[in-house]
Amino acid sequence: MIKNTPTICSFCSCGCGMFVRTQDGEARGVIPSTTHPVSQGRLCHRGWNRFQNLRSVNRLVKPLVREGEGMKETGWNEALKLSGEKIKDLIGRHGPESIGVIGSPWLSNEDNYLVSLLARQVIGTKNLDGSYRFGAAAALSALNQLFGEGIGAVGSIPALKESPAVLVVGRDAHRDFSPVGSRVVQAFQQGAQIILADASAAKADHFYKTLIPVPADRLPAALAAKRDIPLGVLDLLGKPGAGLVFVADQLGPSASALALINYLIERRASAKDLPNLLALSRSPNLRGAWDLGIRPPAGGLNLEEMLAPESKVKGLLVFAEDLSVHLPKAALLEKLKKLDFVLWAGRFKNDTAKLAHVVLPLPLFAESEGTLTSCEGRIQLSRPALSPRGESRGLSEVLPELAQALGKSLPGGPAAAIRKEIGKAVPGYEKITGPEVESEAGALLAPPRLASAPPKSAVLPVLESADKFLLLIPNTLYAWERNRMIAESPVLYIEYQAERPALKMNLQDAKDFKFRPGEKAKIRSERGELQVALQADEGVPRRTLVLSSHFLNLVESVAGKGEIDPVTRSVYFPSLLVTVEKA
Amino acid sequence: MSNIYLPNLARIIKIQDETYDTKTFEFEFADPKVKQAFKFRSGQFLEISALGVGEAPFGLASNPNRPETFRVTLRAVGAVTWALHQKKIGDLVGIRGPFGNGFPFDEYKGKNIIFVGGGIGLPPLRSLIEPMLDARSAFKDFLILYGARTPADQVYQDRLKEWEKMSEIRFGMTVDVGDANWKGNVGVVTTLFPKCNLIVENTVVFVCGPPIMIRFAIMELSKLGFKPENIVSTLERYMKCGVGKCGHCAIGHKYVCVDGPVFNYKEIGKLPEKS
Amino acid sequence: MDRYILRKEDVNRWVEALARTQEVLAPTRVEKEIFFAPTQMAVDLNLLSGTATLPYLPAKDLVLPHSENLFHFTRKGGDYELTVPEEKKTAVVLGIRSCDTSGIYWLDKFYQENFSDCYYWRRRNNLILVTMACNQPVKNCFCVCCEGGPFLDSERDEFDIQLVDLQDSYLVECKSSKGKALIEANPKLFAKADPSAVKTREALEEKSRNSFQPDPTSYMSTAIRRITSNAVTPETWTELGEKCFDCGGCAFVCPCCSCFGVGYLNEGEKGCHYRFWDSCDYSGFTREVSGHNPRGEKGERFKRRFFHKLSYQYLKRDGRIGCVGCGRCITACPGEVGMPTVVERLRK
Repeated sequence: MIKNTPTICSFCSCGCGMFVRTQDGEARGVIPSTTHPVSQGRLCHRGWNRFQNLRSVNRLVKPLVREGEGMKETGWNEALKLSGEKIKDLIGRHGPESIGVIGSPWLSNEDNYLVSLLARQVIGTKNLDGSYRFGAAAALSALNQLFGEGIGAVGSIPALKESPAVLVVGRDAHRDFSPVGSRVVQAFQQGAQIILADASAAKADHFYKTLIPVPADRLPAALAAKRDIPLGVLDLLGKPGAGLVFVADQLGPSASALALINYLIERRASAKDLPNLLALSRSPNLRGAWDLGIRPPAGGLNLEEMLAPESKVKGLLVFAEDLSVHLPKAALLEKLKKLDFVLWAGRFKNDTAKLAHVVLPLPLFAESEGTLTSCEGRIQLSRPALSPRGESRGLSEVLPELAQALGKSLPGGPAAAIRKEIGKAVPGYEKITGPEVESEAGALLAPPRLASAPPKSAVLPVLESADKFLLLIPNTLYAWERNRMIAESPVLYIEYQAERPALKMNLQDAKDFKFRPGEKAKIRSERGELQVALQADEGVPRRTLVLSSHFLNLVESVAGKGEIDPVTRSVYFPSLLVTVEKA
Repeated sequence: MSNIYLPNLARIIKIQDETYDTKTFEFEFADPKVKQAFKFRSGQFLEISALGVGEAPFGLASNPNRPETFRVTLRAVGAVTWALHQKKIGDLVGIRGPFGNGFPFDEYKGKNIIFVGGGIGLPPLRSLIEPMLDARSAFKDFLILYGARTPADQVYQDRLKEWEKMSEIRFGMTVDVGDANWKGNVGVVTTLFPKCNLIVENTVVFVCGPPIMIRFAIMELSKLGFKPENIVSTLERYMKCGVGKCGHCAIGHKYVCVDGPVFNYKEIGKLPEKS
Repeated sequence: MDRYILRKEDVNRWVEALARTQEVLAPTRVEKEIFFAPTQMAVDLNLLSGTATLPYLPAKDLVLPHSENLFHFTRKGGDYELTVPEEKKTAVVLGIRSCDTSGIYWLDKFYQENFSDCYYWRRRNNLILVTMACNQPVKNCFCVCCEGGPFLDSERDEFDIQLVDLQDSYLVECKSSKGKALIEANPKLFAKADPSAVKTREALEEKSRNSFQPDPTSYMSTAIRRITSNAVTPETWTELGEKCFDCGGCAFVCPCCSCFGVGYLNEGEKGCHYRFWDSCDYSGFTREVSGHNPRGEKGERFKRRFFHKLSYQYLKRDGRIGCVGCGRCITACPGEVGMPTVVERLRK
């Protein structure tokens, strides 16, 4: 007898409603919910194959402690006791600020809330952050600057269908999030103007009437200068219901994010109708983690600062983030390896677990109950379809015990009890306590309210390149836990082919330069130079090069130390002009 | 109804290093009843699994006249082949098959035979060469041409030496790039064509190797007057089930695992997709 | 073929009798979705009526589930033990629609040609299908263009039982011996059908067929002809492929799609090989280990899928086109490029 459990997909921030189908304690399949407002009977290839990573055998099933060069299995009591001792020891010798705590957009609201309390109240450290420091923190900070601490329900996926015009920033924002892409197609079929802003797309799909070939970090300047856009189209972006769709993980520095979002807000024809803002993320609970306080309060260090070589952080408690795989600077990984104490709590065996001193196994979403806040600001309940694998336990059980080992206490109990606490403590999250959260459409956060004076910000100019090439460094650091989910699915593992460290160049440009496949090119900017193998790709526009930011050493060679975003206080690599020659 | 997806277990009884990344494995079925009943045709393939790691198709490379044991030659390129390369003598693997249409052996009797093999394309051809040599008198002129990138990339080096010495067949070998000890022909395998007097009339040519080699070989053979229906090859495709059900190997309305992998070039020309 | 009348008020007594010796799967609402679920006596008659209410998944889910274990293995010293999971339940599927039954027959043909797939057949042989004919199509239905419905043809088609909704009762058309056995579970409930009931049935079918598009037969045939003769330009396929999101949904919900992949799990001393639905729309579907991908272009994959569904070459091989007109691909497609959209584009 197949059991069908209604739950949320939890592979990305769209929050599609689906049923996970199980039999004999095994995940057997999924189907989308036809009546859910976001999924409407449809899923993407990750959603359709969700059940495969529930069958993964690469899971952590018992707590582990470091013994010499390897790890030894142990019981929960020993693991938590040891962690308590190590943390107390560091606090005793160096103070609470020597501990850093990392929450995650891959944890539920309930879990993130407890992680935040663990840091601020139990340990007493302000060094609290999430993996999105190097990606979505910029866009989220911009949303805070515009809407205050309680960002609210700033977007609606179903309403996107009725937009008169939609500005899509990055082709992925449409292609990689199919409920959004579906509404964009439907809007187009109803006569909407769809504008694509993407410097790395050689051509737009046939329903993008306007293509602005400018990267996200320089888009506000291009919009202000009205380049490449027919005037009438710009006016449509001011009409009620106009949409702005972007991938928050990759939007560039907070100044550009702020200017971009503000661009539509300023142009709105009717004061009360805010534009439909969809800040998409490849993680399922970006909004929840951020809204529930997984970021440093004033005076605290963010993730990059915690891992800076000279920082005072000596111990790091990492929850559900495979940190070692994607850090923007090699030096950060070095520091991670040298810390006195690393606690890692997560689901799958990975490289960060290998560096840790204590490893705690957590249940996957479909094995525990928890709420997630989607990109729209919709709080939805993810229900368990299976029991936790092996001896994994949820943070709502584990963290109160860890707090006890530190001589303090944390609220525990079932997820519903923690939701009550959240409803009291977090602005905009009052509805998380009610029955609406358990309904099919979930509970929407409060409507957004514009801050009285949205700040202006300086923007990066558009780069003019007569004879030079535009080097794009797309931020691919978002993918941490998601890459693990993909690797654990036989279908998705084939769909997402690992990229070789190479520079992508337009096929015709490569021919003009007479580059043979795999031959090395030398590219030079005003910050450095790099010799790297070329990969010709007809999908890349002319006079454009693409180098993914997770090829750390390559990027640092040509882009130097990058820029520091003054708002997020983290590094980013802006697009650059470079010269190209044969190596 | 037999279970086409359940493998039979076979033990590795011999491992031969061919090149730095290629090994030949000889297997024997663990169950004596299965061993007794096992028969295959030249050109067929097996689905071999490293249990729990994966399963992949491999062309049989040994003589079907002696099916008590069987050999495949495989290069370590992915998860399955890498796992198989880690195995030792006595280890068990899963075997399903034999699958595929195989070469229609009897149709070639009375004809001149030419084999053009490149690199790792020789193993599946060998499953046809060996039984043909057993029945040598059924065929007329017999020519084997083998090309490899370098001498170190040649497979079956011991057997190549034997073929070179056989008086009842003609044999030509070449490498793209020689080494200090190489005294033979240097150049791609098509450079052997003008040197070896290829007979066009009443001949069937078997070509197998890397795609580029096949393309050039077909070009040269066509120039010499060989007709597409007399040029035979084995098509490569990603295969999963081997029994025409999973859909991965379909080209047009043909399934490579059932209607192939052996096709002649007239049939290949009719397929709606480029192979 | 025998014809009977079964009063709607007697349906639950029939189900009760059947449930004594086998499972009875009937359409049931679970959280607003329709699934086939085991029923002991109370069938939802709203879902067993002439209106075409379809479960989200086609009946292929009963014979070829989304994923299933092929075998488990355990390591014992230097040896392995392989075990195949059991599947023995017999079941009556009550209320499967004509399009879904046609899809099952398509799968039957495919899963026995060349090699017979025992995992498919051990489920299939244990199922008896009671088809519910559709007097009233719903929004996405186009079975009439694909010979997939709205009624099964009493003369030409093979089936177990077909029910036709006559308002207070059903006309029960019983063709196979398996179907006859179901009647025998409680023969007192079934009265022989009189000629007027048969006339009503014919009128209902006529009316149902006419409530679809005015010109059903040429709807698909132009597309079939153009695909068969390779007369569709690559640009058209690229344009259609641009709308496709590579989600795989159309293949999963299609009664006539059957491609699968295989996954391997290895937990030290034990493990499992399992298969799961796969889609030829996925970019990695034909990618070889060397990295070469014969269908790397989206347009080529899109063309491939429709070639398999609509070409004459496959029609000859499979006995019917690979589409039964159930309309599920329209529901499942985020890019709004399901079968009717494609067919209409190909007809231009």
